[in-house]
Amino acid sequence: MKDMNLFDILENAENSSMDRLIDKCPEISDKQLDKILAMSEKKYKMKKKGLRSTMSENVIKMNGNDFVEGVEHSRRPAWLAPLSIAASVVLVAGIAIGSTAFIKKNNKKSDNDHVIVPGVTVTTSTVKDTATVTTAKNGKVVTTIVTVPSSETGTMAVDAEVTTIEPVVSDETWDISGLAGDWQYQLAFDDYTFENNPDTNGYITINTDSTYIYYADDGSFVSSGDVMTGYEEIGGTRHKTISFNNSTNNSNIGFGGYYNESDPDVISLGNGGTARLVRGNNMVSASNAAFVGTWTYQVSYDGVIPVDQKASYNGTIGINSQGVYTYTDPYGNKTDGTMRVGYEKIDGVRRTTVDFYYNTEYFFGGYFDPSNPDVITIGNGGMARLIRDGETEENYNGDSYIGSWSRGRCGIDITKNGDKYDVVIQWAGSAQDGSEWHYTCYYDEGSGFLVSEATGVKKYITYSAEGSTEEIEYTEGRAKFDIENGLLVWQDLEEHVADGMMFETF
Amino acid sequence: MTSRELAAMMQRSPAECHKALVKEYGRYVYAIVYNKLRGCGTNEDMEECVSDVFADIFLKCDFDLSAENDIKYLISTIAKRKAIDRFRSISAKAKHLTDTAEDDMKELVSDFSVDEHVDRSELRQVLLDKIDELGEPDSTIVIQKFYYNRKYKEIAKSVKMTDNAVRARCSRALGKLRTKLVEIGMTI
Repeated sequence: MKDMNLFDILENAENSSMDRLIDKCPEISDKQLDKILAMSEKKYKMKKKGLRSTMSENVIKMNGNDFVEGVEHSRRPAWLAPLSIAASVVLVAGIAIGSTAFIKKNNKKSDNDHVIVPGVTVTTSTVKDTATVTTAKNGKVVTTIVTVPSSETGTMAVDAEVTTIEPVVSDETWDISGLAGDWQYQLAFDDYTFENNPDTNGYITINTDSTYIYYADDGSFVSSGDVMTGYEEIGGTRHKTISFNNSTNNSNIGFGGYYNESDPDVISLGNGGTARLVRGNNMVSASNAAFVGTWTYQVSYDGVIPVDQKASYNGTIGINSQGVYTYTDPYGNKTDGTMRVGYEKIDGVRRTTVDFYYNTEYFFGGYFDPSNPDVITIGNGGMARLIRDGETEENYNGDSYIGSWSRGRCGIDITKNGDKYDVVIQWAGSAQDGSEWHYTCYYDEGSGFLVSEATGVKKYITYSAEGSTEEIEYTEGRAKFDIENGLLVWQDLEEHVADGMMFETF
Repeated sequence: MTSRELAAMMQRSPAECHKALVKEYGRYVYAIVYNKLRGCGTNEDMEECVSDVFADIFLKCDFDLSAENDIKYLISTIAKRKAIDRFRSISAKAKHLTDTAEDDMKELVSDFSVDEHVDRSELRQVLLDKIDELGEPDSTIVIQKFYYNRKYKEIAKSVKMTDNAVRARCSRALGKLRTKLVEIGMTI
């Protein structure tokens, strides 16, 4: 958003241009030259010392730049070379054999992607795109559902004896009041266990009236319906079953699983052991996929006006897919930590929480509303928030520029004048002099800038005991003003006096 | 100054020789270093780099001063190479890459464009021509103000004028330069 300074093209000049620039190079003061000489001498002595120790001063002689005499001759046993060659051959052969074995092993595994090969007997039956694999081993029964791509639909090769076990389902139900509450939907990680930070797939609230509501990790609604219970007998063992029948959008697609009192905080979904509902200590920080990216931390610019009306920049936060964040404050200091996604209920209303921790200490946190996915509200007062990168600009308009801004000895006052904006800049040089700029700007909707097209007047003012005198240096000056991350940027298109300066509001 | 003259000075007094080198070529080396580091380095970086250049030159003086050539070319080459090394070092610190993803590697291809390089070179010549057309001391004032980023007070000392006069001349010179550039389709 910044105009390039045309004089920048003089950088990295070729020889002919360089000579012209050298001619106009300002003189370097004697003091600066003495400083450079002292630094150069110091570095020269260090380099010379290093060079001497390398050359072992008394032994090595250097004649000019091309010849060196007196270096020590190296002697090595004659048998060392063939032995090294033989060792290298053995090493290379070992790597080749090892790699081949490893690749073969991996290829075997990929043939049955995501399927655990049963131990003793296997049978398949094909139903459209799904094959049911039932295995029996030492009297224990396991049923696995395998999804087969439609292009591969067909009967799998069967060499073993077929065993088909039909579960016995009863009409009997059981009381779920003990399960009422919030459960987290977890998916086993790549190693088919829930040990190593399982993936999360949202939350399910089970109500005492045998209904449920299913929310995604970011708090958005997914589905709702009835909870049905029952019993199922497989291989002589009786299991409690639970089904979540989706009634949203007249869809009957739901999910279900088994509940066992011996593990009261877990409901196993399906029978593959790869999905479950958990509560209590089994819950983990929810998926942070919705929050990955860069966010701008904004705070109310005066502590009174809500942050969504006028904001000051308070740093940026980058969040990665592992839930690790890096906060960079406005002065460039960085803090790393972890982010945890959860939820809380206030007056029965469920809210997704996003908390930032520094080591184990709570750093700050806020709320996330899935209907406004580019904002995380910090605190309850509307005075701070995180805005997803790229969403900042649209929150500014011409009136956002109104106010006083400063940087060092330079102050900028912007006031509204009808549909225009008056900008007055005062830059103190010393106690006796200073410069002043006056611009009349309009707000450019397209770029979001305040723009002065040839309205600027620059004055050089000198102060004395008798009063002040003004000298107009130029008129018809052009300038642009922009707000970047809550800081004002003044682009002086005449003399570029403020290039690189960011003005803070006060 | 030739290498032989320098060798004679070295024989008399190495310290005096070093001092004379810095005094004679300090501004020259600074201008070369400034040209390479203007966009990325601080004043401290530039001073460091200039002192590195002279340390290398002093070292060179210890070994090879046999040629009759003007030592200016040797100094120019050392200064350019040192400044480029320093530029890379500063840029690498600013854009330090770790754990580069495979997709990101596409972005690491060279961004050097021959066309752009030639265009910039021509543009540079045109701009310097137009600045020269302003005449002295305006051309020096404009270069020192906008390229070397000097304060009016420092420029005033350099061109032996008052601060106010330099301000006024600079403002007018910039106006003239803008007009000249607009005539050939360039804008500041």
